[in-house]
Amino acid sequence: MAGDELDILILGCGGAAAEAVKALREAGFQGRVGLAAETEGAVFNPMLGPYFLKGMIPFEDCFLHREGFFRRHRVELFPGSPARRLDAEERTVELADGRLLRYRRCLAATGARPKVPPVPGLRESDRCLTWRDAASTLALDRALDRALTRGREAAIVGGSLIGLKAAEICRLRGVKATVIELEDQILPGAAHPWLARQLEARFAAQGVTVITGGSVQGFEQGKREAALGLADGRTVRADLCLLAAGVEPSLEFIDPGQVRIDRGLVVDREQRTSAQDLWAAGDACQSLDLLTGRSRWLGLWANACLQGRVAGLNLAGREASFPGAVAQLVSPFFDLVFAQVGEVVPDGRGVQTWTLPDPGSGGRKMGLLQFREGRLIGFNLLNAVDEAPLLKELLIKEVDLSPVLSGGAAPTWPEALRRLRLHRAGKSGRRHPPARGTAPGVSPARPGQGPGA
Amino acid sequence: MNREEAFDFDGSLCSGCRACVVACLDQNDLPPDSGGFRRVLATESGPPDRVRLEFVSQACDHCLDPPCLPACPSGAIHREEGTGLILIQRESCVGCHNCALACPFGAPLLLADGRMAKCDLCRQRLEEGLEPACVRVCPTGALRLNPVGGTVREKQERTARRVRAAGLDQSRGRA
Repeated sequence: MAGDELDILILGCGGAAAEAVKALREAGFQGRVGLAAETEGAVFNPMLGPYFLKGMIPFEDCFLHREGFFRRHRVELFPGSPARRLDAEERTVELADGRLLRYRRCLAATGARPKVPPVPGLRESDRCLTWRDAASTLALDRALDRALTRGREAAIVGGSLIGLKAAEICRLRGVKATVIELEDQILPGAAHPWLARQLEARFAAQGVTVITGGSVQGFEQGKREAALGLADGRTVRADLCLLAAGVEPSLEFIDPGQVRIDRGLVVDREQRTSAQDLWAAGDACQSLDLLTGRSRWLGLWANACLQGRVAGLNLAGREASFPGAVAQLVSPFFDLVFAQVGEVVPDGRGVQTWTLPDPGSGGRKMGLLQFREGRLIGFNLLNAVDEAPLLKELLIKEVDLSPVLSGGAAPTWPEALRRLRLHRAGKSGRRHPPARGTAPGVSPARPGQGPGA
Repeated sequence: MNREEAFDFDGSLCSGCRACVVACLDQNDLPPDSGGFRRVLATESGPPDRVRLEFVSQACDHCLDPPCLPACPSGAIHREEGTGLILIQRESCVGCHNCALACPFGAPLLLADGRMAKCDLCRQRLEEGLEPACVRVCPTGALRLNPVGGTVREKQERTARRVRAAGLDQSRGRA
């Protein structure tokens, strides 16, 4: 094979790669397509790993496609051999096994991998795991069984979304869990400190120990357990350590002198990188953030698949473009559902924050809205995903909310929504001053209210 | 069943009686406090001395390009061949809520079993040659079922805009 030229070479085997292949063939592309990846050609969806570990779905259901998918789409596979070096000028890719592939056009869809904190011994220890792909999901499954059998504990380094999902899974499977987060709050960058504190309390109530501001400085592996030494002198002992300190795009095979890289490969709306004949999709790349208008790495599964499809259509000679995206995540934790949309930042820096409990929900439901220069820039929801559509519309359309903000912060979640709805109705030409003691704008229709009842 | 039909809503005829909501709850055996798959919103407009009251009845629009579909990681949400309906294969749903965050109308509803559900246009009734329950009970003819075409799609778009303008949180379990 070496020396032959592939019409299209795809690097990586995730959702973006699969959607690109589907789009290529659906668009009638008949040329030679090759795919090189670490795995054997099954497409694992990391979003489903937690549900397997919770016992909700079988392992087989975590795959978007099984091994035969790429062959059915007439793709030449180079399994078990990820890219070691890409030369964008020569249009060649050297694989880990030494083979050299030539391409006319290449799609980098290598995804992202977990970061390992720079603590000596962590990377080498067999008690330390990361969690993202199929193999690491199975490894974590076995490690949790082992920890349960021995009555031991799990230490989770990182209070990220993945770290908290892992903590929930530990508790559901009867394993004690301690989450160690470097920042002063869990979910840094996704949750506002106020909402993060509410979540920390909920996790504590479920038996999860949460340590914030905990910097892991040392690691020792004993016969029976591992010990994580924190900067403040504390030691956390555990049977298994899960490293959940975030992910980074897998781009070590790219020469930054040849291609523009920020956090990920910077692409245009057609998924082209700055290098000739090199395209990128999924977590390997970063593209338009609709809120800032700038290029930003977001790392969302649905985006990755759509970017793969856009790249595939363009590679097949069709015209397609990625519309851009907004940072967002939603996740159930125990009996809670946490959501974040847009930019959620600590207070200050010209940001106005409304912290909004819903007294009527017995403390279960709450929201947090953040505004800058009269516009909604981001929000957190707890058990209130139903309210996301209105807020997302205000956010994406950058509706001027200055008149709402000038009245001071709303005291409760329902009152905040009432004010925003009223203003939103006004923006569509229906605004009028509220009458005393009434809530004009929108009100629930009630049975028997209309003449047809 | 091999036809593409969609809700056709005429706001000028809607009296806000919510018979459609009750019919939906009944047809789908949904608990009343779930709010059901259909919601009726009231919007007020005009000056204080001449307030105009209008109603919008909204369920899943079975969009041509549904944002819930790519957001679903498990493949539970899919488009049915022939009918174009956007359906949830509930046994595949993991309850991740990504569809709820993606839908601009708040159509997906989490049920007590931890899985999402939503309007399927009363698919079973359609197979038997019956209208969807909400259409069947609408006393004013505001809610109809018509073949998907230019006018129906245009009306759906218009209704969707009004629902977004009104805010979606009014509808569930509060009537």
